Amino acid sequence: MNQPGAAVGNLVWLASFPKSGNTWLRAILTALETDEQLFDINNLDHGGQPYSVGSALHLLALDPRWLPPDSVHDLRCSLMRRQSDKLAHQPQPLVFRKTHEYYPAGELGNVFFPTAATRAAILIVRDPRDVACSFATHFGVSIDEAITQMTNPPARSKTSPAQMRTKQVWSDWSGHARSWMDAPFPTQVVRYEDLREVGYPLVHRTLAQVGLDVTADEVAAAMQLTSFDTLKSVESGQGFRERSKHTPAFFNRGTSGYWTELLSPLQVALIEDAHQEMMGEFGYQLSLTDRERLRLVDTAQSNQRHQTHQWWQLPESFELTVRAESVPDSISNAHHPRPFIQVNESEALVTFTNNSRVLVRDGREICVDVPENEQADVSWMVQGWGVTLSMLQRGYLSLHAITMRINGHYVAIAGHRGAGKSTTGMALRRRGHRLLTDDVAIIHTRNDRSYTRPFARNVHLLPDSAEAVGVDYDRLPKLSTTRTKVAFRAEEPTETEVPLDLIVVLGRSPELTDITVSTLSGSERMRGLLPHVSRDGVAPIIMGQEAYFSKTAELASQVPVSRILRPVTGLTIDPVCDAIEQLVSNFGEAH
Amino acid sequence: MSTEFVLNTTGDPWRAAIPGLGEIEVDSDGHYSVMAATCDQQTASDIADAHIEVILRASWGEPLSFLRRGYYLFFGCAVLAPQADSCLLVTGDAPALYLAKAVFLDLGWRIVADGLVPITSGGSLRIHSRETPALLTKRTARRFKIEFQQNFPDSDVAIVANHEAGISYPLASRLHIFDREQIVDRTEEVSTHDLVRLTSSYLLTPEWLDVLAVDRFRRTLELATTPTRFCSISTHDSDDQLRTTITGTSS
Repeated sequence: MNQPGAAVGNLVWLASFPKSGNTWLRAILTALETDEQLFDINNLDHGGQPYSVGSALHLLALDPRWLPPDSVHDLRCSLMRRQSDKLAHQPQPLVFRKTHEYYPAGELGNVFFPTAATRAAILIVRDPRDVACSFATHFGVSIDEAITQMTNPPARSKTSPAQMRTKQVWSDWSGHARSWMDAPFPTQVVRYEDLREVGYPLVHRTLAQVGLDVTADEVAAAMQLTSFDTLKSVESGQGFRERSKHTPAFFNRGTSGYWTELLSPLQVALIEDAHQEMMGEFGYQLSLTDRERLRLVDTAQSNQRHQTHQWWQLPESFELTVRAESVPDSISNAHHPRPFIQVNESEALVTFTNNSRVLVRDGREICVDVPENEQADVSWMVQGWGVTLSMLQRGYLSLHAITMRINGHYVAIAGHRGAGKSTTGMALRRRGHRLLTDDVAIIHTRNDRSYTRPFARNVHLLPDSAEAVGVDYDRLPKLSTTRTKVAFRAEEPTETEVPLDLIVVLGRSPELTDITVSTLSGSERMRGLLPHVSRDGVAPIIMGQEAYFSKTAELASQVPVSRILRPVTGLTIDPVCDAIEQLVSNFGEAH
Repeated sequence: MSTEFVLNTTGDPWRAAIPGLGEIEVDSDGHYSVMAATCDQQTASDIADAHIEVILRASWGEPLSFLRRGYYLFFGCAVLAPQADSCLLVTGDAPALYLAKAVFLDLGWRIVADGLVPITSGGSLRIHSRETPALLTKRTARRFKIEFQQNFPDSDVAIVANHEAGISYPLASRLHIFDREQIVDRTEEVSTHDLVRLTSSYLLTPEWLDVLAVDRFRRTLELATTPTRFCSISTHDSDDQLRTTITGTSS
């Protein structure tokens, strides 16, 4: 029990996230106060929730419909203050009040749930996996939507003078419980599952702890009158006014653990991932290992991000126009740095193996042409070659590297195809670092400092890499019908431009049995970087040799470069990640 | 300032003090004056001054004015059919009541008193029209294409003007409306066992009016024995279904 201090008021808050057993406890309390013959589930006491300012009509005969929404909130605060003054020094009888709201931090907490008037709170918690099932039924939403609302809750409602209500905020399942446990008055936590299993001794003990003077026999009798089966039977006969319009009955299952029948592994993973800390605190055992959970959650969240992203979307600051249109198969006066690339003075054209084409003009315009029968993910063409070529046309270097934020520092991890950049980036992300951009680090220099411009770009993973970093290859979208790589979409970077603190060049060597780490200095840096800025030989052509070399030299002089070589065979993800973290740590200490 | 409501009915005028909001004086002829509490008597987040007077008038001045003149008050609305000369007293909880009001307006009925319905008993029950406008939700008003005004831009309350006041109509019957989405149909149960309790809950008898409510039981019985019909409606009903239900139980 949270025991911050003795309270003197007589209010006891019955706090719970919705569908956690609050109504049941209210029924027990009502039964304790009512003659057995008169007990009526349609007249449960303690149900006037504080967000319902309509209760003011009973208290002061005020009509909030004549107030603007902001003032309805103020009215609530005002009424609570006055009620608080009245109740603050009346220890008996106890007044129980239901609420699904969270306990707000700061002064608002004291206004909504006045400390001086509060004796204690009873926080009823229920396994969030069962809550999700019950929540979905009660509110008429899918289980997925219920899980989303329990994790990233929308504001529950708008302040509505017509409904005589202020906005009701629940917070997420964990945040709700935490807020009440941190409230500045004693909070008695009871688990719904224990209420069911232990029964009246626990209810009696809980009520005694908040100061209600009742005997165990009285509680036992009240609980007999309000057993789940009884309530269910009464509801089927005469209805229940608190039933939601979305469900034929308020009292549905009432059992514990029925989530095992209803939730998919992914749904379980999403709940356990979001609420594992509070679940642990309340003794709810996790059913999935960390790896299983993260594999399911990460994959699903990536796919969600995919769904909200359009192939043509790039940061506004890039000032690029992207469109789908017919693209010619050649351009005039072109150089061919590679068979699939054509470059002339103002244009660059890339033709892919599935005959898709990307044409970039004047550093401002990306045109994509995909054959009709090709179900390709066009975004990788736009985010990869499209961005690279347009930025080269504008005179920026494009480093073939992922960019990450590691312990507050911005790091580029460069390397040839197959060096393990994306796998390393994903593994570092699992360690809590932020993956900013995969494969394309746009570099520009200002005031003797190099900067990169992060943007959301899908990480391309082969089956082995996906397995190694713990995402579900089979559930991720393929890049195209002709490629085996799949696309993982990491979190959107929030930064538009960041100073580059460190470059790590990742390579492989057949001669090695363990990884080696070295710091490059002087001309080694230039040599180390050149292979990763040439972009298949396109950069020198587009930028011009002189600009290309001078900008690479500028980058090499401004940013420390280290090299990590790893053996060709064997699992080296962890040592490579350890080494990168160490390099960043060394950099941090030196600066 | 006192934290308790005080209503002094021993002298003339009646004096009411509402903690934190202000004071009201009510003359014997029903005229009343409102003195809103000033800002320095409020805490920082209390209701804005400009709104206090509005709420004092709507929630306290009007009711006290009617009570002073011997009316008793009922929560609900009074509606009048075209060419009818007697009123229907309608009760129910939001959103069903909002919906019903919109349907009545759509059918050409007039709402002659909304929110608080003044009633006198002297032999037969009579309803008195009030100029106070009818309140709907914006959504419902839009659904039935009813012209409305807003009291505040962000509010979901729609205001429908009523220009008639002070006319007395016989009470023909009562209609109580259930919201089918909130509760299963309890019509039969309520009509046979619970009508007194239901009636009582719609009489304006807050704690502070107990001094006036000595004959509350008698008034409750008077109203409870008025012919009463029930119906259940839902926002999911079609417009035609709603019109049919309301017409069928109101004629």
